[in-house]
Amino acid sequence: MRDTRILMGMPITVEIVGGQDSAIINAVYDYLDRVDARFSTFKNNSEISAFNRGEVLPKNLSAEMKEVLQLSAITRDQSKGYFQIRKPDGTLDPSGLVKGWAIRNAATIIGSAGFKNFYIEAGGDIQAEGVNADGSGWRVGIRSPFNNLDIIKVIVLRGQGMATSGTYVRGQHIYNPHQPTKPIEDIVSLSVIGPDILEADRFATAAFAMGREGIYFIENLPGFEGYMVDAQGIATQTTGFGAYVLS
Amino acid sequence: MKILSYFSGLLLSSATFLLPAQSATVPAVNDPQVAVDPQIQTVALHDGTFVGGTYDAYYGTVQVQATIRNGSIASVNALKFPNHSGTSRSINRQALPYLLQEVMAKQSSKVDIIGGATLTSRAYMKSLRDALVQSGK
Repeated sequence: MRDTRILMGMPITVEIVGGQDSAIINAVYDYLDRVDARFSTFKNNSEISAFNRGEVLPKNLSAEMKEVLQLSAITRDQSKGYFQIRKPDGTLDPSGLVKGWAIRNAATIIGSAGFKNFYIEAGGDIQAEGVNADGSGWRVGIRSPFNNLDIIKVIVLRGQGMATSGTYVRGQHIYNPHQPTKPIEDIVSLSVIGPDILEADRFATAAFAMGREGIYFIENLPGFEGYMVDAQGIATQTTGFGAYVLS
Repeated sequence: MKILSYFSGLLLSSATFLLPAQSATVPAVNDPQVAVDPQIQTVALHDGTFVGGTYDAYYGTVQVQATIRNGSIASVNALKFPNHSGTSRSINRQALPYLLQEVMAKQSSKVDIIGGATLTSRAYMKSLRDALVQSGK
């Protein structure tokens, strides 16, 4: 059972091997919709927008918002300040990890319903559990940051998450908090494989902001691998990345 | 019940739209440069492949093609996309000496899922909207 819907401004695909009950798929999309309603900085009536306007005291934030803000603070500290949800204008934008957090939670919803083999893909970020319909690990193509139709690497995931940060997605949407006016031109995309999609997403965002140093940050992070593509089309991979590559 | 919802936080100011099977809501594009009906439209999607308009994403132009199967979105591909690819490709041997480097190369293996960089800009959503409107005609 597979479904694709447009939510949060992007196509989101859910596939459950052998699943016949669309109720679980609907539950996943409903959950993602609620996350968007709470965390979208594009919506005036979201909780994050109200908080940014000073209309909500920190103590009155929802438990979900507190969790995301706490995760953001932890990630900032784990990345020498490169992960930063406070924008130059002073407002908070936690989108650098909300997508991964939401996909991970959605995967938990599916897993709790008893399904073991499934994936969720949202805007290029993936949590893949168990195996595909053929009983093999999920074969994941990494899209070229230069050509939407080309796949430049094929990896196999079994229970991990993969997130990609890039300048390509929404134009320049990540900046270096230590040099906010300097564009990150050198690196066009950085895909990170981690223990789950939340972990992959928050460290992909942080590492991307580091520019060329980011791939070394991932190299030194236990349990994570990365594949970085620069503006010249040269790819650099961490030492353990090859273990995921389909040979 | 299969539900197709078409929603963009980028483009819509408030509500989320969930509709019965075989239909999709097409959001108003919140952009004075695009002449569209400001009302939200509900359309039944017809099967086929539909191409949206070309829009400036300021870092290049974007045009998407949507394939509709059984009234649902089967796939969305970008036909035009920003291309950063430089004409000269050379490996900088001084950079990153300890990690494996390669020239990025197209792969042709069959895959279950495609991940990585995606186009979810405003221009992308405009073009996708065009494609879905055509599917509804």
